[in-house]
Amino acid sequence: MASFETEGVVLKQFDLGESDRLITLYTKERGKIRAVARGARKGIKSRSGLVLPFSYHNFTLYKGKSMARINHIESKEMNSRLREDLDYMAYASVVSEYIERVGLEDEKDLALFSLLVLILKEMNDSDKENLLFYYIFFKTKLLILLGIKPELKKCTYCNEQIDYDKIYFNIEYGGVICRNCKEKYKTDYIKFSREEFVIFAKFINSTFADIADKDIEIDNRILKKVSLLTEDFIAYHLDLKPKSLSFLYNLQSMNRYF
Amino acid sequence: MDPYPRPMGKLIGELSKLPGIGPKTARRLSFYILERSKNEVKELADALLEAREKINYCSVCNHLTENDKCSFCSSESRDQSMICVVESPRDIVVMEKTGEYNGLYHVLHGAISPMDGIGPDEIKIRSLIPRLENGVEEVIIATDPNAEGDATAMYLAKLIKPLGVKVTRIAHGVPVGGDLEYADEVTLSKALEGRREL
Repeated sequence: MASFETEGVVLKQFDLGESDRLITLYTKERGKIRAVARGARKGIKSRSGLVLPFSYHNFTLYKGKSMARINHIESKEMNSRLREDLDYMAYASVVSEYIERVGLEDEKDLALFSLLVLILKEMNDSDKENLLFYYIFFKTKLLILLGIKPELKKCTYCNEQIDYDKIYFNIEYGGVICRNCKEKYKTDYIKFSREEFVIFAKFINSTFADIADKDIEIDNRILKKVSLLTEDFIAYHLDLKPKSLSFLYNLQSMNRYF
Repeated sequence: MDPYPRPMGKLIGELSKLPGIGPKTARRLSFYILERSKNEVKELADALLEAREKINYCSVCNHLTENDKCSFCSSESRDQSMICVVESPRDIVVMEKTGEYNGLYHVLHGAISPMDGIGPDEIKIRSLIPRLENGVEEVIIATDPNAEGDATAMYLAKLIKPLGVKVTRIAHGVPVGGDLEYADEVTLSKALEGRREL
């Protein structure tokens, strides 16, 4: 295989040997790719400073018999704020880790790639108080792309239409349950008020265009509840809990303290 | 058939575990060791064992030391009002080579890397905070200029600034002797940010 060009986002990097870095990219044409950035740690190759997490570039890669090698980079979006502010970085790390864990090597997934590019750019350009909103939007769209969209209309036990006054959600069954089934089967559930449920449903059913450019004014308590639910949902159905989540939680408790 | 006697194969195997040593170099080093006298080889083996057994981490700054405190922490000639925070003991060696710094150090033994599960509790950050009560006026953060180093620097600043201690970060930019046209835009924008008046 010779050299090829692709757009890609840097998800992760770690040191390789004395002066190189092994970069995990999520690319438009080939999904997840690991490539070596030669001399990146010593800064001896020009443009090595561009190979930073969350940045988006046009890459020229060369793949011989062994691992791919980064030959050239043309920068598209540096997303600098995601590395220069700790809160932004914590959210971007979780987003990147989700993609790194669910993305398949050498398998194109244009929808996943577009979601990643969009969310990192929106987070980078947003105010700090809107980060949680974009993070939830990302997770709800990820659920849909991975084929585990929560059922919000009919009871996941008996398939009856649910009563929207009191809403019960069961993570294990992947959606809402009616009051009768909740009492009959004595199952675990998360209780939603109508207001909370409407917001959760909006995240699930809206496209980015539907909610972009609108004033984001949702009670932070509701956002946190929805965020936790989506994390638990992904953890249960995909057995995936990003390591970077503990750093995000650590930072959130630190922000409360200071 | 194995081309080497068993002890030599074992020696090559152990040497190739060292960083930057591939199988070829390990083989060359093994032949070199076997060509030395028994006394010379014993000195090498003793030096390895002695270093491993006698060198510990300083109880104050986590640098390497033979005693409870390292030479920097026990020296009265070092400026006690400054602490330079570095990722590893190797960074102290290069900082000392500059001859520009005469303060104390604090070694973190790593950097925050959320995606690898390395948070603030996995590196030596907590032991830095009590040290700031002893008249420290400035903390210089000299972690690597990469994503992990920057995250660590930001976290430390967030932790230390409310305590009223000045926090600074070493400058990043174009390497001395390098050509400006070869610098990438991130490095160059960092250099512009950190420009100073002449």
